[in-house]
Amino acid sequence: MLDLENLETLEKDKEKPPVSEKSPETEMNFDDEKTKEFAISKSEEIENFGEETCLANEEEFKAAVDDGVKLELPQDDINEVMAETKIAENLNNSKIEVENIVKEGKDGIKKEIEPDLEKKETALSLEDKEQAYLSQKIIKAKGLDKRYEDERSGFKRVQEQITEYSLKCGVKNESIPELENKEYNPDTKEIIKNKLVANLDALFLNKETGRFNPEKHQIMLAQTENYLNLMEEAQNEGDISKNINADEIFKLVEKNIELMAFQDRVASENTLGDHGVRHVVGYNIKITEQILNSVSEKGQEVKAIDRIMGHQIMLMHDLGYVCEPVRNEVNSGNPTADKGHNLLSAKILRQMAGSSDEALTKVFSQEQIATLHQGVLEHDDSKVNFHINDGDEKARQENLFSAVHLADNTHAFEDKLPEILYSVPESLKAMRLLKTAGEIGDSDMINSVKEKLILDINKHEEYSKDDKEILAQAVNNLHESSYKFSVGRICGNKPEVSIGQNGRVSIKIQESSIHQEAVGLFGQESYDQLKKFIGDLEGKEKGEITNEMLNQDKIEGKNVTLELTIGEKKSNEKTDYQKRIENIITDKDFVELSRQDLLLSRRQKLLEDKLNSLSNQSLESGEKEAMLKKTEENINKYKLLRSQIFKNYLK
Amino acid sequence: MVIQNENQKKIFKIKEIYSSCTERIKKIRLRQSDANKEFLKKIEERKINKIRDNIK
Repeated sequence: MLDLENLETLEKDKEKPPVSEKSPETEMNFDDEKTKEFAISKSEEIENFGEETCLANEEEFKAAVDDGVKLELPQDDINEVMAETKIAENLNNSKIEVENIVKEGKDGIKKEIEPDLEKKETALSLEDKEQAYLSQKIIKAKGLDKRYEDERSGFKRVQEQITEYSLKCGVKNESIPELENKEYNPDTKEIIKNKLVANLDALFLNKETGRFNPEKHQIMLAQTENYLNLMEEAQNEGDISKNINADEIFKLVEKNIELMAFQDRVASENTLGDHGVRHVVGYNIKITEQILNSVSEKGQEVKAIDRIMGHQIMLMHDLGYVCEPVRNEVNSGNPTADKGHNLLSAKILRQMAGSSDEALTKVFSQEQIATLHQGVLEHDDSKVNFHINDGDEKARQENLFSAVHLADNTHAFEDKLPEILYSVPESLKAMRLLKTAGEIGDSDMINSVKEKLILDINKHEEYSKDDKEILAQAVNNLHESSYKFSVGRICGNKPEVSIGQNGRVSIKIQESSIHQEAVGLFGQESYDQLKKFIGDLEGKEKGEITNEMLNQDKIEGKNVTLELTIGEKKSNEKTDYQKRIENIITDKDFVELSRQDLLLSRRQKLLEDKLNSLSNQSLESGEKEAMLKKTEENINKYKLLRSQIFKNYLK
Repeated sequence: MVIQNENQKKIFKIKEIYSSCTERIKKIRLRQSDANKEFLKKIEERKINKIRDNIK
C-alpha cells in the first residue's frame, strides 16, 4: 500500500533537482536501445504509481468506513455522512484524474522515443479500413484492386501533377516572410488571404496560362474566406491550438486551393457528372453547411471544427478521379473506371497524413485525420442518422458523416452536368445530332458534329487556351449515348434540405421549368433522373420507384421525407443555365426535326429488334435469308431518311 | 555523438514527464487522504452527538 510515509519519502525526492545534464542517466552514453528501455521502465513506474495511489485511496476509505462501523454507528448515519462529504464521488473523481495523468504520461514518453509511432499506428488502421472497403466493393467495381495498388494512384504522383499544373498557371509556391514565427490570428489571417487571392487569380482568372471562369473564381474566393474564418472560430472554441503557426494554415489552404483547381481541370476533360468546383464547393460544401445549420437550429451542438472537417472531407472526397488509372480510362471512353474512386481518395489522404512535412498533419490531430479518412472513404454511403439534443461526441461525428452523405447523394441535377454541357450551350444540340448519327451509323456525321462543336467553342472569347483544349477533349469524349447520362439532370435544381426536431430529413425538390422540353428532344422518360435520385436516397433500384410514388405530395422513406413539386406545380423561374439553353429547346425547326426523327428512330428500333429475333429463329434457309434481307433493306431506308432530314437541316 | 546527444535530450524529457506525473498523482493522494480524514472526523462527531443525545 502506498501510505503517507512513502509519500513523504517521495516528497523528499522531489526536493532533489528533477534531472540535470549531470544526472547519472544523462552522463552515461545511452544508445537507442537503452533509451527505449529507460522509457519503458519509467512508463511502467508511472502506471504502477497510479495504480498504487488509487488502491491506497480506496483502502483508506474502506478503513474509515470500518472505523465508523466499529464505533457502532448505524449504517444509515454512515450513508448520510458519505452523502454529505461526497466521499465516494471524490474517490471516483480522483481515480479518473489519476488514470488520465497516467495515460498522458505514458503517451508523452511514447512520443519521445518514437515520435512517428502514433502516425504509423493510425496509418495502419486506416489502411485496414481501405482493405475492408476494397473487399466489399470489388465485385461491383471491376479492376478496383489494380487501380488501388497502382503507384500512380498514390499521393506522391498526384502531388507531382498538382504542382506541375499550378506552376504552369503561374502560382508561386513561396513562403510569406511576414508569417515567420507568427501565430494564426486575425492579423496573419488577412496576410494569408491576400496572398491566396493572387493564387486564385492565377488558377481561375487566367486567360494566358490557366483557366478563365469568374463564376468558379468567386465560389473559391468565398470558400477560402469561409475556411479561414472557421479556423479562427475553432481556435476560439479550443479545437485548434491558439499557438498554431500561421504558416501551417497558409500551406494547408494553399494546397486545398491547388488540389481543387486541378480536380476541376480533370473533371472538365470528360462527360461524367461534374466533380470539380461546382460539385465540391458550389454544392456539396454549401449543402453540408446548410444541413449543419439546420441541426444547430434544433439545439444540437455543431462546432467550427466539425464544419472545417466537412469542408476538408469534401475537398478531398473525389480526388480518386484525378489518379491516372481512372483519368486515362475515363477519357478513353471507359466511364466505369470511376467505380470505387472513394478508395483512391482515401488512400491519397492517408498517404498525405503519413508525411510529417504536410500541413494537414500539423493542423489536424490523428483522431481528426481518422474522421477525415472515414468521411472520404464512405462519402456516398446512403446511411443518414441525425442526432438532436445529444451531447455525446459520437453524435456530433455521426451528424457530420450524415451531412456529408446527404449532400453528396442529393447533388444529382442541373449543376452536376459535365462542364461541356453546362458551359457550352451548343453541346446540347450536338448531343442530339450525335444520337441520330450513332443510331444510323454515320461516322462522317459524328465527326462533322464534333468538329462543328469544337469550332463553336473556339469562337467563344471568354474561354482561355486551356479551357478550349479541355473542352475539345470533352467533345471527343462525347458519343451517341452521352445524352442518356446527362440530359435527365436538367429536371431540377438545388434541392432544399432541412433536419426536423426528431432528426428526420426533409428534402424539397421542384421540377425545372424546361425539364419536359429538354428530355422531349431526346425521347427520354420524363422523371427518370428523379427516380434515380429517390432510389439512391432510399438505397433502392431506380426501377422500384413507380410513377404512382411520384404523384404523391410526399414520399416517406426510412429517415427521409421527400416533397416533390412537379408537373403543374413546377418552377416558373429559369436559372442562368436554363436561360443559356433556352434558345435551343425553343427553336421550332429543331424541335420539329427532333420530333420527326424520334418517330423514325422508334420504327428503326422495332425493325432492328425484328432482325435480331429473326436471326435466332430456325426457319428454312431460303425463307429466312429473304426475310432478313427485306428487314435490313427497310432499316436502311429509315437510316437514309433520317440522314437526309438532318443534312437538309444542317445546310 | 549526435545520437547520444539526442538520447540524452530524450532521457531528460522522459524524466521531466515522470516527475510531473508523479507530482500530480501525489497531490491527488494527499487531497484524497484529507478527504478520508474529514470523513472519519464527521463519523466520529456524529457518534459523539449520538452519545450526547442519549445522555440527555
